[in-house]
Amino acid sequence: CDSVKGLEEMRAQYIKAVSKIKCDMLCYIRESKERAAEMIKTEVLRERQETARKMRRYYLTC
Amino acid sequence: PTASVGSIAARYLEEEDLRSQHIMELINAHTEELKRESEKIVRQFGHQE
Repeated sequence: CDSVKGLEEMRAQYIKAVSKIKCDMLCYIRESKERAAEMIKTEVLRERQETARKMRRYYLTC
Repeated sequence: PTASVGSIAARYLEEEDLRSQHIMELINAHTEELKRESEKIVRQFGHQE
């Protein structure tokens, strides 16, 4: 009966460790995606502003 | 702006390296905790045999 209790404790510890690792990994992946999305968003915005500036300059000189 | 795309990606990857180091430390901490706790359980239940 005691050995069953020991096994159960081992099982609980193992599941706890794996859950923590899963949690951290999900967080890491989510943050990576968010960082990449943010980077692309700011770059697209910058590019769009740059194009608008070029257009304005082009039509002003014509 | 096209030339800076490379440097932006490089900076992203640099930061990503730091983040991956950090997550490795977290995972190591979890496995260390598992080692300590399971060791404790083995000692505790080993003595009773």
